[in-house]
Amino acid sequence: MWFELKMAVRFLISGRLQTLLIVLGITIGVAVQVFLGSLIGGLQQDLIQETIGSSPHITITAEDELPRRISPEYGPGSRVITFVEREDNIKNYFQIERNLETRDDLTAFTPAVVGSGFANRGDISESIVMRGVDREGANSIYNLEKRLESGQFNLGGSNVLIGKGLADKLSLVPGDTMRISTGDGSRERFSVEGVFDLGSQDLNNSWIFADISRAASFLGLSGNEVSQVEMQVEDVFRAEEISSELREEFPAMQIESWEETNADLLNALESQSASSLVIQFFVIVAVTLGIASVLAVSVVQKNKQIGIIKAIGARPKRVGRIFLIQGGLMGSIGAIMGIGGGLGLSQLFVTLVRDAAGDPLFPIQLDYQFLLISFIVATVAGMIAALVPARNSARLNTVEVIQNG
Amino acid sequence: MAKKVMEVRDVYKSYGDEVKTEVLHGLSFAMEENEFSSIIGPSGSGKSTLLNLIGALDYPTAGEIEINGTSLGSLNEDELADFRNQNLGFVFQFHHLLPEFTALENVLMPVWIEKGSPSSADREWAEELLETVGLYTYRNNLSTKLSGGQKQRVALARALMNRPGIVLADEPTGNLDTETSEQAYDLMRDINEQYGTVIIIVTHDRHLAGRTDRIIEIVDGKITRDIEGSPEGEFATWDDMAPSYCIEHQRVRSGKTH
Repeated sequence: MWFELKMAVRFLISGRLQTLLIVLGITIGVAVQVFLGSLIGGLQQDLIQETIGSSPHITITAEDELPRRISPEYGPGSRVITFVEREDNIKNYFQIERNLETRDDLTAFTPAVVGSGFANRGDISESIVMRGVDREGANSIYNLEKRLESGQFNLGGSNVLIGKGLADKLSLVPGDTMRISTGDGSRERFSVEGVFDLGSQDLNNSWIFADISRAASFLGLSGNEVSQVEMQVEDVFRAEEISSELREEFPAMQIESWEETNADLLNALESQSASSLVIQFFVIVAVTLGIASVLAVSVVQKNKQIGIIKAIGARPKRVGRIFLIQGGLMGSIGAIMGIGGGLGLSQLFVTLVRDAAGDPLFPIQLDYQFLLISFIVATVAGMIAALVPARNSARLNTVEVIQNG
Repeated sequence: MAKKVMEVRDVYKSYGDEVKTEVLHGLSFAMEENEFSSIIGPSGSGKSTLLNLIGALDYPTAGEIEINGTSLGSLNEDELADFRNQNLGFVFQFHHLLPEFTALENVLMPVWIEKGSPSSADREWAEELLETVGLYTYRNNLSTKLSGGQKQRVALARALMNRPGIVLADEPTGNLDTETSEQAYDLMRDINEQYGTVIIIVTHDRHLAGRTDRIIEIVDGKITRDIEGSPEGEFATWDDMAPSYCIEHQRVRSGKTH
């Protein structure tokens, strides 16, 4: 192989301008690929982060409609009475908790008590969703402490945190008190400790966080009942898989993953990835054709040299290999330069393109696996491009070449 | 009797699939150790075709060629390549060095092909060969920086690199002026005497052929003469002798028809 490598390197060096141009072509191709890939990867990660970074990835709720039939006891001829029993709450939370504790693919899980009602101040009444949560658990899922705009992250007793939309509507600031009433007739005063921004208008307009036991008693749940269990998972794209596993464990529960609730977003992301792949594919095709044409010319130019080395004993296959190596070398050198260029472009993009506040629009994703794949693809493409020239060189008729000078 | 290093037995060669053109019509001859011979003939006589066959670059249509006890017909294309690398040295008319490499690298080329990288012994041998052809000081020059005569001498050194039993030289002086031709001839003579290498010069230069020890003349694909002699003896006047095809030609001019 040393002989082939040596020949390939010398041929490339002697073809200076040609080699330089095609390596430059590959560099640009790979740079575009890396830039595009990092950009779209970063964009997607940012979108997903925005969407689910501070919200539960999987939510367990009670199967809310359990059909019950009452019939045989009433004997033949009697009417079959069926009714639906509404079961809103999870009664076996401790069982779920024990199960979730054994999983190592969750980063956090926490129980929550949820109920709706109205918040009143003066004449204004706004519909709200009260979420009774465990302070630490809720913080790990909603990142509440960081999302607090004003006030303190304090959930003891009758303290509540409210969304900034609601705070605006009711003109509430930390330290104020508010009345909350439920459909069942409960009506109590709570003290606003903090105002949060969850990044979603809907949630900011309606959500109120309270302590879980306080919320349970206010909403009329018994001591060991919870409304839902929320969790975040290590790998967001395994959420649906984990959900399925949980569904098998708890068939009576309703379990939803973010992938189900955000199917539209996922579809959009997938189409985006697909179109990016198509662009990358055609970039590689263009680069491959470029290498192929240059090498085809090179075989003709090196005609004489090929004839000589064949005459003095190089097997045809080895002569072909010289051109395969040339293709691979140009591909890999171009790829290394292209990866550097692509990362440079990405850096430039992050530096130059900023939002109004002067922050980068989104972080560029640096995926080493993607870079490695780009490198391998370019190298393999180079070798594929060299296939036909290599075959031509292997078939070159030695006798003709050496006799025609 | 000296050992045979090459035997050509009743060799035919024709080209073309539909219209067959026979170029060689049953040639037979043998070469022995230490021979310094020439094959001459006009262009189109088939001497280049014969060179390709005994150079293991092509297969005969019929007949057999044996070199150092190996029948070339029994080898496939890859084995033939290996055989050339080990047993034959080539000096081509158009010198044919690789322009991308230095003189020393060109000489080492057969070793590179054989085993990838040369040992220090190979390197020393290559340098010795360059010394022999008088180009040691030019060893690190790119071959494009050498004169025609120098290139041809490097090619000769390369032909000897793998210590082949036979060196085939195709019009080795074809592109050289009288003085450098003389040098090339002297060098081949030296090598023949020094290393015992069989040298076969294929040429249409009657003067050059006359200075070898044996002349095989080919006309129209047949051996018309196969004469042993020496430059000082029988061949001293060879240069003045009319070639066989000319004699035939003269007959036509003297009025005789075929």
